Amino acid sequence: MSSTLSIPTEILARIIELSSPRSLAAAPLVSRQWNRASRILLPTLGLKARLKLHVLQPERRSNDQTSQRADAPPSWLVGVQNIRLLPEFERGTVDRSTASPARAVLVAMTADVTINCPEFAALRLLDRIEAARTLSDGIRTAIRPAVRLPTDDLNISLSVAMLHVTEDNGTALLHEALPENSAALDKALNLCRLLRVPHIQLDRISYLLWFSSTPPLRGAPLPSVTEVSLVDTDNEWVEEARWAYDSEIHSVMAAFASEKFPFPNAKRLATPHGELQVTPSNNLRFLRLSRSTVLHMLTPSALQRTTAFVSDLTNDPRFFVNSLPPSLKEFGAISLVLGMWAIPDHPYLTVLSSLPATVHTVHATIHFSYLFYAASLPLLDLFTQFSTLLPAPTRRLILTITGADPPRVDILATARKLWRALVEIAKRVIVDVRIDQRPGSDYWVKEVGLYASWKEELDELVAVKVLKAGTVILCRPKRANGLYSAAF
Amino acid sequence: VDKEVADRSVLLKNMLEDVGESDKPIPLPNVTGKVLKKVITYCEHHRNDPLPQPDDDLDDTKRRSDDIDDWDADFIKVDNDQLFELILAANYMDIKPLLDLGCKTVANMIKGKTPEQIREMFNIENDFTPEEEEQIRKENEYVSLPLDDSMMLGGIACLLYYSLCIANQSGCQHYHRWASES
Repeated sequence: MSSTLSIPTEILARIIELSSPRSLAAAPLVSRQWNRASRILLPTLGLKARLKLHVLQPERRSNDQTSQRADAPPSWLVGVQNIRLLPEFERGTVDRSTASPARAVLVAMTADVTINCPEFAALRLLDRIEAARTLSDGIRTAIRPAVRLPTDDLNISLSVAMLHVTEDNGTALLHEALPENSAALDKALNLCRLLRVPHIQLDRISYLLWFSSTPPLRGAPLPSVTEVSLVDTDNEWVEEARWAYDSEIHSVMAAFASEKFPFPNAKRLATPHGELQVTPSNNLRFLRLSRSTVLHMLTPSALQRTTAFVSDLTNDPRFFVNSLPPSLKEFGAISLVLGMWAIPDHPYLTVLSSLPATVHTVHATIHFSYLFYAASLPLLDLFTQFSTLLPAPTRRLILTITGADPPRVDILATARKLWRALVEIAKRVIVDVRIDQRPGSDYWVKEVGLYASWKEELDELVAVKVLKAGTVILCRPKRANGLYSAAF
Repeated sequence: VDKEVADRSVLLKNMLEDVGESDKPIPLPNVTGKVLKKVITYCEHHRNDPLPQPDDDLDDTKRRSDDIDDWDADFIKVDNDQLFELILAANYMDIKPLLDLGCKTVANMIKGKTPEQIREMFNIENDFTPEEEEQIRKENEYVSLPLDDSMMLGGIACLLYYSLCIANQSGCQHYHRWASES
């Protein structure tokens, strides 16, 4: 006798929904009732879409294929790159605000959707629901032969749209921005607006096309967009398509900060050379910048709203401290290498003395090799002096240890040296020690034992009251599963 | 049973409101005495918990099956027959947290199991014909593809792309580029 014969199908569906994604594959094969229960669920496909704009080569313009094909029905070229069965991924890609939310989210997929620019014209005339339905149907039809997706009960969520401009031969255009190409880009942005795409990625060419169109940055607002990314093209042979210049990145950041983009709700701009966040209180946070020149491009109002500015090498001579935002609360990263090692006139002294009194968090970096080779006393002197120079309101120092492949020997001694050197500064501010996870530091990141041994050293110093609990926190790179449990 | 314990069941709560103050017993024909006793134990333990809200289902945490607390996990350690009886009782008496607990427990039991293992675990008869079973297996292939199949899918995508290129008479250059990217 079956144990589950009397269980209502609706409850069985709930059980399958709560189980693992693979249960969706197994459950329909258990019995007819389990099969009916499985069909109640609507698998949702989280689709990362790349809208690739194909433009015509100049010599082929006379054919005017764009206008000839403007009314052609859309065709969908879908390349499935991967399938993930991870609930975390699914949660990130599903739009709960859709009119008919999925009953269950059990399948997610990363795929490329390539749409030729003339085909945007066919969607442009449709309303949002119709455009979304047309797009979904096209993708579903195109993808079905490859992976045998169910054709009826499949929701499709467009999480990312990449606007990527190429010629037919695969090379990128630079200064040959033809009017029809700009128009095609406008159509692509319109499509993103219609479909409420939350994340737009622009390669350099598409951004320049958009930026140079008249009037600048035209187009209807895209209120659905919460994140914009500038991405390098995956075609490494096309140099002009790469974001190689800091000045361009900073120009984009300045435009974003001045709200010149038609993305009124965008909260994050990610670029290969830095990141800009807009806080809930509408303040600006500049993070991971490769240069500090962005400050000079900001309007006074944007400068006033800037509360975080974290750049590399801000005690570099190219950094002008007199331009620091007046409401700054978080600042960095001050390199402690120079001051400690070879140059007697510590360059960071000028920077520290110029910080506004509003700063409560300071970022600093120090290279592992300096920790390793420095004597204990100079390290202690360095941090002690550093603590006396911090602005009075400073409450937290985020100290990043950079450098890959540390020597395997004397790691514990190095850790002990660092912790003891932090004694004085830890009396004033909370020191948050982080390990750099830049490319090249894999060796270190993988050495989980290193964290454990450093934590052990830290615990010992806390136990004998050399350090006070909670004043020094050892973090682990997020790539290695988040905050290390050493936050005591 | 205290009223606040009985109120954990929406069915009982509504009935009590309808009949008002009364010593009359309330019939629960679909629940055996043994299961009812177990249900009361659950309700007594959770008597002070906040009552479920209508929009709780929108909460991501309600869609997980790995958040069962220790007491509940111990409580639900029963044989399969009693487990399903508890689920049915919770459904009948409208005790959502207990229903969720039962469903999550069964969901955890079937995680990673093949159809055959699920049938064996719950003593379920396979009532499909071989042809039906093969057809369903094909329909659901997409959810069981491993990550490593991406290369194969990329190849299929190339073929798909190639055929569409021909259909559009736009040449094969796209195909070559796509193939190199894949």
